[in-house]
Amino acid sequence: MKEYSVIGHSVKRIDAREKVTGAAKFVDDLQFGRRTLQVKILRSPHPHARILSIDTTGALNLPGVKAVVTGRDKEAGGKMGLYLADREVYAGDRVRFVGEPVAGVAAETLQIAEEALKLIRVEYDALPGVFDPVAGARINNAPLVHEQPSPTDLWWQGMHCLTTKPSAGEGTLLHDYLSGYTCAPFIHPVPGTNISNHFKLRKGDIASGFAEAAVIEENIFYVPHIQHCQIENHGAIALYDQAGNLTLWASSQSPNAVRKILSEGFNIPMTRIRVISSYVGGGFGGKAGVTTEGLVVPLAMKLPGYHIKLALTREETFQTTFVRQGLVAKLKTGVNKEGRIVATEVELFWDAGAYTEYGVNMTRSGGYCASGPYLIPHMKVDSYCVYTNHPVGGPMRGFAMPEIHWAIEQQMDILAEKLGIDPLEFRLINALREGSLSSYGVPMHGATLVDTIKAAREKCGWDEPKPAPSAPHKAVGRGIACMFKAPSMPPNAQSSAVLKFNEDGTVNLLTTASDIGQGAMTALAQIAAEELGIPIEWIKTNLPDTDYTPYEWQTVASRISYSAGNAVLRAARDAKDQLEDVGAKVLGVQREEVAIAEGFVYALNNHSHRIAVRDIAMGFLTEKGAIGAPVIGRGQFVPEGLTGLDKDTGQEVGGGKGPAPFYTYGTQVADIEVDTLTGEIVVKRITAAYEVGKVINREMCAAQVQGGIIQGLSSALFEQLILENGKPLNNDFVDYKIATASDIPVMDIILLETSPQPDGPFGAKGVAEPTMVPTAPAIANALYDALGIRIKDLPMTAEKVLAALKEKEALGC
Amino acid sequence: MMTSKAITMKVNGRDERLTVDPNRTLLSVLREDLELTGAKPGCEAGECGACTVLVDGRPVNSCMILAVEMDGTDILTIEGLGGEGALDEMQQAFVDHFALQCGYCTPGMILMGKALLAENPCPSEDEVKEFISGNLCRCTGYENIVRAILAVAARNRG
Amino acid sequence: MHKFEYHEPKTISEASVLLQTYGDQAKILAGGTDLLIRFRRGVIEPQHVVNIKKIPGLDRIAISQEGIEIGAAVSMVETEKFLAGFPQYQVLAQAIHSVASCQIRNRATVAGNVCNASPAADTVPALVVLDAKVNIRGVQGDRCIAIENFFAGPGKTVLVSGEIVSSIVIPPAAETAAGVYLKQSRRRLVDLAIVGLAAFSDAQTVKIALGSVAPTVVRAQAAEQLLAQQGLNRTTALAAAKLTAMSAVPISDIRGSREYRLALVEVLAQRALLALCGGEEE
Repeated sequence: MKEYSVIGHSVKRIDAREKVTGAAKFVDDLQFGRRTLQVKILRSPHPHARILSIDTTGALNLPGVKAVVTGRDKEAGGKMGLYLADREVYAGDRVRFVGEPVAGVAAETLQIAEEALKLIRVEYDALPGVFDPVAGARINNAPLVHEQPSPTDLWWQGMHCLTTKPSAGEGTLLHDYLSGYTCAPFIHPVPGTNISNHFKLRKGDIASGFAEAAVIEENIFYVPHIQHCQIENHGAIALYDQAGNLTLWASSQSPNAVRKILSEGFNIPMTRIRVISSYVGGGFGGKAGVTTEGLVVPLAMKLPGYHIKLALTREETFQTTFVRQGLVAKLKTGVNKEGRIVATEVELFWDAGAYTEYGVNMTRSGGYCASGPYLIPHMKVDSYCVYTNHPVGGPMRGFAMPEIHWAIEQQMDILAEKLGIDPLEFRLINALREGSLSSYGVPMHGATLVDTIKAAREKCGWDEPKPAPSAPHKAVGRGIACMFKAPSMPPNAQSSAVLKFNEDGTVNLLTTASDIGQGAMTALAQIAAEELGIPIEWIKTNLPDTDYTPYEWQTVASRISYSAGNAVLRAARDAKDQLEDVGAKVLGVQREEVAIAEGFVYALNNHSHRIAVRDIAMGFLTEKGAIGAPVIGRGQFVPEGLTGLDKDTGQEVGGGKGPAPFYTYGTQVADIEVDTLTGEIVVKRITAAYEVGKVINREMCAAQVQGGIIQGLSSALFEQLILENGKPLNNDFVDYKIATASDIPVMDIILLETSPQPDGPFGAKGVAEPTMVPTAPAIANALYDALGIRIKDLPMTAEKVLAALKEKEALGC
Repeated sequence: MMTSKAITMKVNGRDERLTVDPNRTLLSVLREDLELTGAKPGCEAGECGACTVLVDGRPVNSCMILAVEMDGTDILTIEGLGGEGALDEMQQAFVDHFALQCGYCTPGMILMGKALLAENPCPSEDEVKEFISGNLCRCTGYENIVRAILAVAARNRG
Repeated sequence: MHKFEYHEPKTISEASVLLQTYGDQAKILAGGTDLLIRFRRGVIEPQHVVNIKKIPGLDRIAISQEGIEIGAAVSMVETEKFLAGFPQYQVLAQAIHSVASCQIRNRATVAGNVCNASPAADTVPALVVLDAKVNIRGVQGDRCIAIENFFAGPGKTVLVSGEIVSSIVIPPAAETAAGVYLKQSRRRLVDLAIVGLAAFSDAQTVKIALGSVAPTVVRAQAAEQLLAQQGLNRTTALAAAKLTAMSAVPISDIRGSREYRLALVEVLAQRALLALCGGEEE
């Protein structure tokens, strides 16, 4: 194993000082003096209604109110969205979820803004709501469809557009016929329905698959909506100056996406939009794309010269930013008597909410990963993204993987029990291995699930007896769950980086990748330092600023170490090239005879013959004149060979890798104790093994696993956004509980590097999201092990456990 | 009708004389009037602890306190720790033990660590966990935070 | 937050006069941890806020022959610290300790918890089993009420205009007396009770009180009677636990269903009573 000077080491976070001193500024911390106005948003109380009229005169006449905007204003912009343009910033003629923005007020104080909201009169005409994705998917008003290509788009070459002729039909449609909506070419809306994406996968022949099965299991699993609960609420500040330049300060995982969506939605060229990222107080996917930023822009455009500031309350963050979609998952799976899974038929009904501009892609990823990390020769998958009058579903850590693994990993245990095989052995039998064909027909490489299962098995003592219960009324259980995940991104998701040297030899690392807590700032600096051969203390990773930092697609998908890391690596090589070139000339040796280490360019055959990087970073003045110039390292990266999937079969087309540059595999084992009288589950220990290719920073990597486990545990035991006719009943921390320090188990974490990623920087994959994926099903399987009860709907509250236990006792089992 | 009130409070060792409206929270006055933005508005309902400051040595949710009540009190915010480029031992421990990720809950957590060790210099792991249960963190999973606080306690025991 | 006038009366009578003058347009500010939440949500918007923490004497907690008197402005943390020296009052210390987080407990007061009169209040069942009394001062005069008679409904007390709780008194209890407060919530800590149960026994009697299972605190009278007749032992503990569950009339809400609450009452009662008689759980 190669020894690196910083890669693999637990370098202290380079943003730690800012954060422990309070110096780090988050969006709401920014202050801009007296010409700052506060924003409050008037929101729909109805889950589904037509807006008949809006009268804002009362608000406009209130002293201290400077501007009011509604969806009818020209400044409000058009339809926008990442993968499907189905969303307006302020509702136009219709509201589709409780909390949807209807009007915005900018006023001198928050109090005046709040008063003004009360003076806005909105007339609604309530429409029937859709609250169930399974029923919602059945509505079909079968219109005539005409598909046409739209003009080439920057991102989605070959974006297409649906035009439909309406026809009569029954049932409520949220987005009538999806007429005129543009979407990415790999998204397939079904006009005349509430299905904004139908992902289909057909591998092999499902009927013959089931014919081979000795055991077939059919089960339905339920996943409720949950919310990211970043401790920093969403917020944004916009300034539109008198010359027409728009500046946005945002807590964002996607400054470039924010710029793009705003540019298109408000028709402003990108050179006139600048998105500046503050420190981000947690993202988890909820601050990807655009949620809050668009709300301030129309107000800013009405008030040139004013800083327009919006800070969402916790209650607003809960229900009006992204939530994680709900899911009804129907699985029918067959195994032969040797214990091999032969066929799986999966129907996924995603409760995707009122707008699915982002959710459509989770539907796709959930669909092509519906095998779980296992080899299944025959598959039939239908994954439906269904519009409902619920809060807007968006990406949350795992991007459909936690949701589908909740179902898949319990199904695995159910099958194993029917066969009489140990659940861990059953997973070993079926695990994807080198060369296994994925669900979309591509041979898998670096499929290291088996390594993680074996490591977890040993560490947790799977084959040894479980600990005894700590009291007679308690029961212990142990459960396993596995997972895999690939970054879900378009085949052309780009990263770029610039290394800008300063006169003293220090370096600014410029990238629009966001550090949302995962440690990207530090990891990217480590990659640069390692490649450049300079001390990491010399590198500052700047915060994203779209005017100055080069393009980064988004900080999502656990892709930054891999993708931005590659861009940084290339930028470092480019800079090293320039330094070695000048250095060799200064030292009077051939180019191939120098190297860089510890901040010096040195001659390979005489290490003391050297010149400091700082002395040549701006070029070098010789007797014969200057050589070199300020060093600027430039790097770009787009993953190679990513190809599409067939519209009807989901099988790879193009002879490439398919949609995924790599998969990360992991296994978790949960040891729990259950109080059989109260139903309370206490998780005593989680053993987690992940194969990550290359650990860039050991402590930071382990910290990601810790954080993911606790989010997974929290979602397993506590979390559900309770929705009643579209209205959230628990959109605050009083009644939406997340794990505290007193809920944490012992966490044994194993990081494996058995399969370095060939095109990853130093072999690195990604790990941030996989860490949350298997925790909930591992606990569910442990619960079954402890008490023989299986809970198929999250969360596994004490009340549900007790009820299930009593039901089991009543049945005399 | 609302009469504002003149208050004097010591903040991070400095006397601050302010005139504030009674309907302003301590959190809002710290952040806006004194530009001490280390205490954060995570929920403004006393549930998340991101607004934690020490008042007369005791940790409180500053979002649940009216600023006018603070006349004559001694307040410590995160900005009052360390100084002149040096970090307080608790701050340093958080750095050394990777006890932070996004950093938003961090000021509150550090102040809780200080408050705990001031009243209980040798806490058990369970006591630390219980003490900080009113401080929510979504990033770290808490383990490294607990370790950092215990490390400071262990060092002080000699 | 809405606009209001802020008052810092220096005496109780000054405070009472303010309250009577402004009626329901005035609210007392003690710890503020319940009041500010209601302000922020716009649930109530009183024009006058009366801070009682500057009134001398209200921040005093002391023990005398009459028992322990907890001034209305004493924080929960201070109260819990004071009680640490008295094993016989641990039921109240435990109840206080289970309230929210320590940040909240550094501001919240026992009197405030009582006057807020939430059916889920943790200190109330403990105060009930300790036979606590509420000292009330008012413009019309003073009175002292048994805590069980203090509540009129969820969020409602018997206080009339101009009245303030000045202190809560816990009568003396033998050093050999013991009590326990048990609470079941969705999350282990920093959560409202789905069910709260206080049990207290001295030489003569056992008292049991329940929170979160009715509009106001419930005394498990049938269970208490059984124990009074037959004494507390392992067998009677189990029988009394069943009777305790029957005295609960919970509703279903987003924190827990009626059925779950009833099941929990019996379990917590068992645990509490067995703990008091030194027995072990089945």
